[in-house]
Amino acid sequence: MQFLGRRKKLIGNFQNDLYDQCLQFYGQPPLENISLSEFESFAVERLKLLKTVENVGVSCVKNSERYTKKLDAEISSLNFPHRAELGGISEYEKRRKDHISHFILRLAYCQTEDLRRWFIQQEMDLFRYRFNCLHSKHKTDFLHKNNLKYETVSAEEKKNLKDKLIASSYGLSGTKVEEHDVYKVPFQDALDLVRTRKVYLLAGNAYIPHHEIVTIVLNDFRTRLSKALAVSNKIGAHHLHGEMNVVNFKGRHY
Amino acid sequence: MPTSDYDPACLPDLLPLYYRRLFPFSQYYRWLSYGGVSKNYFQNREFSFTLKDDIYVRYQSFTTQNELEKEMQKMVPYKVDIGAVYSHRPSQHNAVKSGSFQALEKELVFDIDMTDYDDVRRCCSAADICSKCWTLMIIAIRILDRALREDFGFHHLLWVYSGRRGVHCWVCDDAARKLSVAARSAVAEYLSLVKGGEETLRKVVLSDPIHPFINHSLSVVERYFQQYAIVEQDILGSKESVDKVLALLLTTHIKKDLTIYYQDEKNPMKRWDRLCALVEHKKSSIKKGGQYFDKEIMLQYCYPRLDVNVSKGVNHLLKSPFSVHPKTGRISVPIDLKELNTFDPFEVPTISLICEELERPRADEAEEDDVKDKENEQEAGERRRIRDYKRTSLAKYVKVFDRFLEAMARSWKGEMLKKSDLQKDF
Repeated sequence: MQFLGRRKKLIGNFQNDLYDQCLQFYGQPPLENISLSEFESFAVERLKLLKTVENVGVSCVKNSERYTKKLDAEISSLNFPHRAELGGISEYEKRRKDHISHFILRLAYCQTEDLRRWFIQQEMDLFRYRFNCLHSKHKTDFLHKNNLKYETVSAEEKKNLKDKLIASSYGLSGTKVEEHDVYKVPFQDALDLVRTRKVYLLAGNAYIPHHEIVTIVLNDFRTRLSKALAVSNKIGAHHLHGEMNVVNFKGRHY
Repeated sequence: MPTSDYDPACLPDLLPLYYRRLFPFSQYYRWLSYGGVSKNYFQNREFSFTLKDDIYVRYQSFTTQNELEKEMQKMVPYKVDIGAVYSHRPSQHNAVKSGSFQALEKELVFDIDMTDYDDVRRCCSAADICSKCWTLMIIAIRILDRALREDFGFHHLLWVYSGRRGVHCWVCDDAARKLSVAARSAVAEYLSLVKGGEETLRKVVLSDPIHPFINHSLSVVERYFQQYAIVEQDILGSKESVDKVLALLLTTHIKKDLTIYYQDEKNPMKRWDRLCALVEHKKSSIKKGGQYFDKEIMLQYCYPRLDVNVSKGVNHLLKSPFSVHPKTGRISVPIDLKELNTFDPFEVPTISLICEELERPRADEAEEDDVKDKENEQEAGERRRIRDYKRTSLAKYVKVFDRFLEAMARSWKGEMLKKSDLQKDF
């Protein structure tokens, strides 16, 4: 099978665009061929992952320290990528699994409104958790790579604008401004904050504190995923029912 | 008295002259073509005309400046409105498959109408304005112009006197023209501070922390408030208007104190000072709320009142600059912000005045005609027209428009260079 040779080549270019970051928007579907057993195991593992995300979200306050710690542990044990530092073959394999399994589950979960809602909710929570784990530089890299023109504000500019930032953004204190990133985003991408005047605007840019940039990115993620699921549904993911054991697999969810 | 008496009955005679010899078509076309950066931008623009007897026609569009001129001279519209740039020529919208004909772009616009301030101005009401309440327009322009430039980063703003009771703002930046409905509505909401209709007494509510935008706006209002509201509008003069102001204060003990104080103190300035002092004193007490009553009052009486619906819609039609106001005869002229303090809406020329100025004998221009007789008719006509408006009171307003266009033209040049670089045109 072509598979092994291709895999070697891909690992050789670890600079392979698609897997150079541990987080992605899942914009491109996987193009490789995989075996049916890998197909099923990937799907099952991701389903476990999403159910874990759901359970941890129910038992802990989302985004609290406890929540993060628990997810850290569970995701590691399930062999999915979540932290950017690691490299090497195993990290690559995790990212590949992440990519492929996401798309497999799309097929299963695009078919009804309830399924779509559940899938989007867990994927968003997972995305938010993984985005928050990224180092500041990796966050900016991720945004740029995905064509989100969001720059971080320099320390000097932050100092100059500190009072204005505190007076405009909810939950922002002097310490937070100093210690955390603030992002500059074209105002058109932060309309909810603009409309309610909950953000500082200067020269057409909205200055978004760290804890709010993820909301903006998440909105983008949700929009993209919603659209994609609608398209998958139209195309007729149900055609795969018989062939891919998707029905059985869906059965396990309930 | 510089303004000739205007009589609406003369409009049918004056308008043809206006459109033939005074309307600045060349600058107008240059504006709406936006440097030719986008193909068919002018051709796909919707205009609407209100003709004699209130006949309203929409979906007018023109392929060239010449066609625009000929049609306007033929139809002689009483009012001209500008709409959006569509996906197809508006005049052919019926031929387009249903659903395909879409409004694509339009300037971001604001309409400030004096009637929206009727509950807080005592000098006039409805369609009337006077030099006292005109200050409200000055305040509105200063606040909105600053915010649109400094907060939103827009550069090309055209402020226009509507001809009767308000002002319009046309934000012409490329980014502004491409804004979605949601974005336009968000901008308008960001700029709105006075909320609520007749039933709402307290229309401005401030809470900590005060957003920098509100602080900027307050500093503009504060510059004008004492002279405008306390002196000219005399809001703390009569019992009736004092009651209106006190109704905005929720704290009973402040109201009580002031009512007693006002029994003896009749000087409005002192009355206002007392109100501010009491509110300031309350600020330092531990309980929250009411710390900004004085600022809220100032904003309620002075802050710009926008109609969000005008700004929201991409396909909304707004009165065109250089249109004539049929009731007052005044031309909708651009306002020079550098001379804003001295702008007088009652000095704005009427169509009767400028037509009359046109008929005055031409002293030093007779010789120029001989030199020009070699030109073709159209050029000669245009030259004549350029000379014509220059002889009237309209001239200085066309100059304001020219300067606005020059500033924009520099940005079009940049766009064209970018485009040709991308296409590798050298």
